[in-house]
Amino acid sequence: MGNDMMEAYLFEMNTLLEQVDEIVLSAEKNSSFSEDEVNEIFRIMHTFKGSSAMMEFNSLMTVAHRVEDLFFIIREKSMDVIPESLRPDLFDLIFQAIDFFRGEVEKIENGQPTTNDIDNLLEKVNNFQEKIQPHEGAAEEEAAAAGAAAGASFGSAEFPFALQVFFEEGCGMENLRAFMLVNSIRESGLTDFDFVPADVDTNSETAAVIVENGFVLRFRTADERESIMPTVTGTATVSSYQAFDFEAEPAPAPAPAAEPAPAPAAPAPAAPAKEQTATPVPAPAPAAAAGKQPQAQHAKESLISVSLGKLDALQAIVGEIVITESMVTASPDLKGLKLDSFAGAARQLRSLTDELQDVSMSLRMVPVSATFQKMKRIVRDMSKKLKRETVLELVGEDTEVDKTIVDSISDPIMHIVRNSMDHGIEEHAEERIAAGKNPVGKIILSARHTGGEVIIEVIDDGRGADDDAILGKALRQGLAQPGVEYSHKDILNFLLMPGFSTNTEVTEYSGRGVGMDVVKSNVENVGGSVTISSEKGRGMTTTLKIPLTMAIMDGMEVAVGESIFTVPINYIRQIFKFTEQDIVHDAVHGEMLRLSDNYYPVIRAKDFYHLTDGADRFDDGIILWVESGDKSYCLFVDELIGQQQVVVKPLPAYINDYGIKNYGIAGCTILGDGTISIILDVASIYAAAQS
Amino acid sequence: MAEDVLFAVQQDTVDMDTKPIEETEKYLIFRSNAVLFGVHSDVVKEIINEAKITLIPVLPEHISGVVNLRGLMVPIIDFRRLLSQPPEDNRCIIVLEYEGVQLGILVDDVDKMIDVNEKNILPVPYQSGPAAGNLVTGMYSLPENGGTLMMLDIAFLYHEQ
Repeated sequence: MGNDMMEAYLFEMNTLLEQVDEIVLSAEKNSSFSEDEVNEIFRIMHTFKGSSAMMEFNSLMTVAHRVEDLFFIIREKSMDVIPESLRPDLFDLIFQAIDFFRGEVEKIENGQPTTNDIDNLLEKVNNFQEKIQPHEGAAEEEAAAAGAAAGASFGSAEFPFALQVFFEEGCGMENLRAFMLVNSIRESGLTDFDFVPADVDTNSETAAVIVENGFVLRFRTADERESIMPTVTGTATVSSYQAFDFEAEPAPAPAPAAEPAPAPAAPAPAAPAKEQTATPVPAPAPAAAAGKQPQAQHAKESLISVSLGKLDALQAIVGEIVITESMVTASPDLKGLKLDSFAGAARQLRSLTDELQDVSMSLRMVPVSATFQKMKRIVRDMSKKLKRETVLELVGEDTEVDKTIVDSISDPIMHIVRNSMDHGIEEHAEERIAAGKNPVGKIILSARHTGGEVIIEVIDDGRGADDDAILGKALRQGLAQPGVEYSHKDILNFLLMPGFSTNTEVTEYSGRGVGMDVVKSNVENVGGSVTISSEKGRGMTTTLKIPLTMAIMDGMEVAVGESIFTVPINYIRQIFKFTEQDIVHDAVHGEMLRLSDNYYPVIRAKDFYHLTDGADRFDDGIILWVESGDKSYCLFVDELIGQQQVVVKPLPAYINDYGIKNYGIAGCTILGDGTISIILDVASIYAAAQS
Repeated sequence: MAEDVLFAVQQDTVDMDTKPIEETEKYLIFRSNAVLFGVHSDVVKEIINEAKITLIPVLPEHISGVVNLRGLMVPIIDFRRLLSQPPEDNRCIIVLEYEGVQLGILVDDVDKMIDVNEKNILPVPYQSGPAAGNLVTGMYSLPENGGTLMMLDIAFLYHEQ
């Protein structure tokens, strides 16, 4: 089995699982499935069944098949078939099925064998199906017993005009012959029709069904049916055919009738008279299982998935093109030449390459919605399990972030949301009422852009952080020093330290040995930061600041001696000239500047990096007032070169191994003339200068 | 035409049979402060004569910085400084690629490519001290009194830190 095929299968499964999850979640809120949703789930289950069968994952196929059956019933009879009281069970059941698929897919991904123990789940599905349609199986059987001629299991409200076709006995491959028939009907111009079994092209087992029950074509109008008659009669292997009209309204006769009309799949609520028939056989005939071929698929194909590696390669090449373009247009060979048409063409090239760069950049940007949607499920499950009613509100789901960043923040967000559910939201609604809050807890997950960053906030309105409890714990864990005064902020920072977990007992959701410190380091790995703010009794807000993309940013190019540095624009508060007199000398902190009623330390880039050239006198250079988080200081450099959008390149690992990141060297970029500029990390410079 | 080709093929096989070739490997000779070094040609990617080396602060002295090699950042090791030899300007860079990682070494000049029978590479005398022993895997006498070649230990160069 090809790896590509397996990869495609897993990708498809994962994508569709997310889709189903989303649909079911939103449906649960309305406590009903809309017609579209039913169709969508039906279609997805159908795909699951087909793909899993192809990959020979039989357990997955079987479960998908059963869920598909269930949704077939719902689709045919609308949501009304499920009484209100049973609906929570339906949602739970579907979630269980989704979890089953997820678990299995994970096993497949890890190369473990899939389970065969699906009886439990199947039984649940069957039981549920019986509850909503007690006689399905029985009616089916009887209908079959009544003889194929009865043409029992066909006809639907949508396609009431059926044509039952039998092929010549022993002609073989009935399913493919049926499919060819379908194709020739389509060729004749009629596409809006239905047939049973629907999966004749993929499922060879349907051949036997066709031999027994015939192949049923269903049309919207009698005229349509009439129009394709020549096609049917013109097919050599067709031995006989018979037309049936299906009447939607009248309830089926109490006993299996000889007339073709009553069909088990008819939108008829179970007639009580049928109750006597014995042991319900839940397996519906393939006729019931098979659905219409999904028609909606075409509209969905406007998305393709591309491997990230290819995008990275594209990005690298585009970066090269941009640089090469400036190398060509600014070539020293052209100096002094008057080249009007060249200049015009060069300008056009420039604007095109800029556009190309923007497009290639945008390819990597994906909305955070997929990550956010996953949290809905977590909140739902946890609020059921912990019996703390909580709603999750999503804000700014369509905020776009670089794909690699989205992947790396998914786990941190999940952890924070779990923490909020587990430690934040009060255990009992009474507690909330007593505190004057809405008895239903609320967690807001929001994302928004600010300049070059994305701010993701998880806000809960729960208990908030108890400073005393946290400090006590920090003391016990040896993170805090006894006798030292800690500010509220310091205390909250303990939460982000390794080895700190406020919950004494390990619960199912939190406290798996992964703490907020892991969240912090994950976020910092992509160049972001985590801060917590909280007020006791009012809730807690965890804020993640994440760079929009690690691949491109706006930078200010500055020179120090021979070296060129890039300072990210977002960190620059102000740029100004200063004279020697303005500097305040302080025995402890060295040089400082007074800016808007506060003193800020001055760091000289030349001295900090031990460069040989560069300005020493303040009159000869320029000050960048920079700020990152709560670190604010002045960086003294020689001169400004200008603002530029730069493509961030990592420095070679060989060099990074020397710990230069701790000295504020975050990466590098190639400028238009091929020169390398070093990208500075404002926060690390401060930290290094202080130590 | 066809005959020629046939003939040529035959010639080749005859050559192979009559001259049992000693197993030799190609090595590139370069010079650093008058000492000759040999580096296996498999790891030599290219030689560049003019490149602007961008200094990266904080690094140890023997790492000159990085060069922009068609968009790829390649770290450059100053071979003279690595061996604590007096520094000198106007030199060239040999770009090596080993285990998929590119690394440039800044040397005085590049001499030529030679065939080396690896059987004739002699171990480094113990007396030479640890510094030389670490960076050199063996010594090889060049024909016609061409001097002695120090065989560069690529793995050590890459993982020396």
